[in-house]
Amino acid sequence: MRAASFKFRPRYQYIGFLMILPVMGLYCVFTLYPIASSVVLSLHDWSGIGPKAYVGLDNYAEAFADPMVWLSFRNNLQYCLGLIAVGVAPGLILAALLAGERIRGRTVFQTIYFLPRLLSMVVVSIVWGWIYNPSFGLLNSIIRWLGAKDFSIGWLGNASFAMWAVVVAGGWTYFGFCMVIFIAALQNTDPSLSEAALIDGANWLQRFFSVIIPQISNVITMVLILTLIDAFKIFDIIYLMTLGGPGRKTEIMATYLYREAFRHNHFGYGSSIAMILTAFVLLVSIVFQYSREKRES
Amino acid sequence: MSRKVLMAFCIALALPLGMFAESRGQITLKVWDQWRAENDSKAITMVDDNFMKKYPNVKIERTAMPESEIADLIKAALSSDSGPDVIYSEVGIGFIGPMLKAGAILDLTNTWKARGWNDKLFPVSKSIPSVGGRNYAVGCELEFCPIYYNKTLFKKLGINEPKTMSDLDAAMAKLKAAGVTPWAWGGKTWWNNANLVGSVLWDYLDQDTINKQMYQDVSWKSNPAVKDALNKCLVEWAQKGYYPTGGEALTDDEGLMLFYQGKAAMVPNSNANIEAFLGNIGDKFEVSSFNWPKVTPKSKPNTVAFIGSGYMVNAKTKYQQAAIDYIDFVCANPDSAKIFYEVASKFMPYKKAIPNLKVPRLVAEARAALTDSSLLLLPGINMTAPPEVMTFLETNAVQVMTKQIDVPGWIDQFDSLWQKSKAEGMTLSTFKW
Amino acid sequence: MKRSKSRLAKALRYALLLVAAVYTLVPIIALAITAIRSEADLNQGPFTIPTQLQALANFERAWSVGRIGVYAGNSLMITATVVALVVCCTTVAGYAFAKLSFPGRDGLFYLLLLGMMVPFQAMMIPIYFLFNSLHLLNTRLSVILVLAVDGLPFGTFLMRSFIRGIPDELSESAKLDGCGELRIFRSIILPLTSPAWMSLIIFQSMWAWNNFIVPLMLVYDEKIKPIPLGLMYFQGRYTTEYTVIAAAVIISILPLVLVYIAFQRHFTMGITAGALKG
Repeated sequence: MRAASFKFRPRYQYIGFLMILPVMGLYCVFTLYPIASSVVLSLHDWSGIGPKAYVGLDNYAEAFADPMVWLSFRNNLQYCLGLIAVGVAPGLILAALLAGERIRGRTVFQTIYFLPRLLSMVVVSIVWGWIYNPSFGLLNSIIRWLGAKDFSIGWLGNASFAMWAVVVAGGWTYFGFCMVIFIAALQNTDPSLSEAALIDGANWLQRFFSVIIPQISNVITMVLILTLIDAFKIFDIIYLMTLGGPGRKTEIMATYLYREAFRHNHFGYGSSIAMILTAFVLLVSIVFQYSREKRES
Repeated sequence: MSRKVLMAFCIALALPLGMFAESRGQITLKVWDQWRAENDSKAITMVDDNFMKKYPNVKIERTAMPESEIADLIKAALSSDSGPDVIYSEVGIGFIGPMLKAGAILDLTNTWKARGWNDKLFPVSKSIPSVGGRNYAVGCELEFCPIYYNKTLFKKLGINEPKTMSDLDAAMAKLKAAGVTPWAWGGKTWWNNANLVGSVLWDYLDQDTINKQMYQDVSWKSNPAVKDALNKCLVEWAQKGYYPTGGEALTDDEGLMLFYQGKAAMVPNSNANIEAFLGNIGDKFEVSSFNWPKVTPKSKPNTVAFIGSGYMVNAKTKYQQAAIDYIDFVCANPDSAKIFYEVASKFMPYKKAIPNLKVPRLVAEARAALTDSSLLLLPGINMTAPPEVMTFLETNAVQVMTKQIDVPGWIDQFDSLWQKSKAEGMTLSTFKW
Repeated sequence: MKRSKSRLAKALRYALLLVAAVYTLVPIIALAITAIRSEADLNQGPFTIPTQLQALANFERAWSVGRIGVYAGNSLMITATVVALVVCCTTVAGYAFAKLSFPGRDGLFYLLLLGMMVPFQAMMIPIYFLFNSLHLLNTRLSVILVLAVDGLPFGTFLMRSFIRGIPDELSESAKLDGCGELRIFRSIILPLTSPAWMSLIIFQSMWAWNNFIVPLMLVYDEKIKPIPLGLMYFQGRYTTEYTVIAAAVIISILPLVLVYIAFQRHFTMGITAGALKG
């Protein structure tokens, strides 16, 4: 006697399974299976050829004790802060400037600001590599023109400034994206509240901070969380601009695990770092999703 | 004898005959190598054609491997059953170690004697790709790294080729005073750092010490000469402004640009780039080379030797004989060597005299240096250092230059990484395969 | 008094906007100018006024020696296939998740969303070895599959959100008229969701065209490299041929920039839909 758990309900549209099959099929093979593989691999020691050696949680213990892992983690955080400063903040300001009263050429401005987002990181690294070039770069040319010759250093090779240099390049592609989101959010705000504040004598700055920002605080939080997640997923820009240098100063988690796996033949260890990174990103995402759903209910 | 038994007998006879026929029949030898550049490709094609003329039953199927992370490619190929028979690639244990341990590479130790390579090839060709007393590759593309310099500029400023370290210091002071950057160096490219630091280090240490460091993992902290070497190249020269401004952010190409433009006078580089030098400099000025100068009056002038890569045989190959024939033809044959010298300016390990060699002066100088017995020719540090140490060397030299860490601190980290690799069995003395 | 104050405020606004526009455009314009100069001219300094032009030679060299044409062809092939794959699969799946009811529907959907949150690094090592055992390493197909699968969660999410917004009455009345599910899908849902899948097309194209890490890991044959990978190696090998590199870069960004200018609205729609809708 079959259990009653599977009833053929006439109102179920089983064709739905067929319709989701391509997506779920590909997803299982090329996403879920690799993730599971990664977890398994992280429990082993493997050089890429030959047998794998089971080591349990040793890789994780080593990773948590590895100063490079913590350094990379801090670098990702630093990148996040940098992105907020040169990406989110300018995006917000520009959105505010554009969303208010009629500005002539508004679409033109919007189109321009979003342009860098279209470029691949290879292009960004080439262009900004030239800007930062110590001898002919635009930055040093400007600095020398201003008379501050001592500051015309090798930006991408300088331990104190390399990370900030990379972040500025990254932020250049990011602020347009944030601006678009903020403009959409601002368009959903209530103009009557601003007008009321205006009548009460508030100037633009006061209106901005006391009336407008609170209305879009949800979106701001969301963008900040997205920035955090993005900052931990980066690989391209560091790989292309500094390769983690100088002296591993710009090493981030993704480049570190890539190097450990593909250069030092520590595929198990690299996988464990990847898992730690994933766990962190997942945690942030889930917390964010949960809090968003709570707020919406 | 019954007919059945007779048939079985014939079949049994025919089988080994068939295999024998196959080995005399057409075989295709799959070769993966690194001859990507135009002239390199030309040279190897000529050599392959000559080989196929000599061995008409062997067809060479060549693939030039990409510049990217090929270790994994090779690993994947060697794991499968349809991998190449011959591979020409990097031979450091950091690179090929996993393949060695997995038994994927053929042990060539006995082949050296059997083929007479000990007499025909430079010793470094054997010693560098050897570990645990066994050899696994024939080193090729002999490189050594003297200092290339702008001779026209030197003559103009009245500087002679430095023979001692103090000569070199004096020469650089003169260059600096005349507004020329002494070193054309780009610190962003890791190889430049490894070459510079490695060369100076080897210059300060004597052969005995070097051997102990490489093959016995003696602590790097024990020898004060190490500190002197690093102080010289990473502290003193940096402070005196002998490197280009912002040099840490320049790639080696950009550093070379300074050399080609006459803005920097010397570049420690490999003879593998002679072609590029000649192509870019042309008639602008005369370029020549000198070896790293003596540090103390008694030491022999050092020249660091590298092998670019090595020819290896896939342990799973069905055509061992043909594979070794091929390697012998490419590396230990004077005609092949001549082709590579003249067409591609690349140095095959063939050490005996090659008659009628028509090569540019720089190449001839380099070959003379290689065969000069008064020079101490030693494997360079990136041939012998464990991979994690190499990464440290490549990326962290600039840290001393930019004053983030002092020399003793740097040596500490360097040494502890070396000892860590030793514990993991990744140094020459501890690696087992 | 108030009028001059507001005029000042407006001027300030324009000034800030202009500064930001300059900051955005200067690198790109400098790039374009570099691409049309000659090598010798560049020696004066890259941000000087060009006097000697050599545009055609630069672009020609980028195309032939730099092989930008080959790379662009590969990028086009890969992007087109990825986009087609993603849009087809996710529109269908999105509809199923939005409008149909079947056991485990919500669970499977949340499982799919997991993919959006997991970074590529978690999968990259096994994906390499997976394709190795499938003998698909160094093929365009491997890149296409990975890029397409990467876009499936977001695509499904987007389509589902959008389709959920379509009132049920439309499909109900069609059903009363005797239409089957597939017919409803084809004639009603598809046209109505055109803004969504148009945004998806554009978004996904941009993502596939610019992706670097996937081809870096999976492809090494010169003949099948897409633009980001090819451009990186070109620059690595000819570092100091600045004018030619600039020309190559211009060729590589032109398609996307033109598409963007033509379909700007859809770009922004896709982003805000993903970011704001829940």
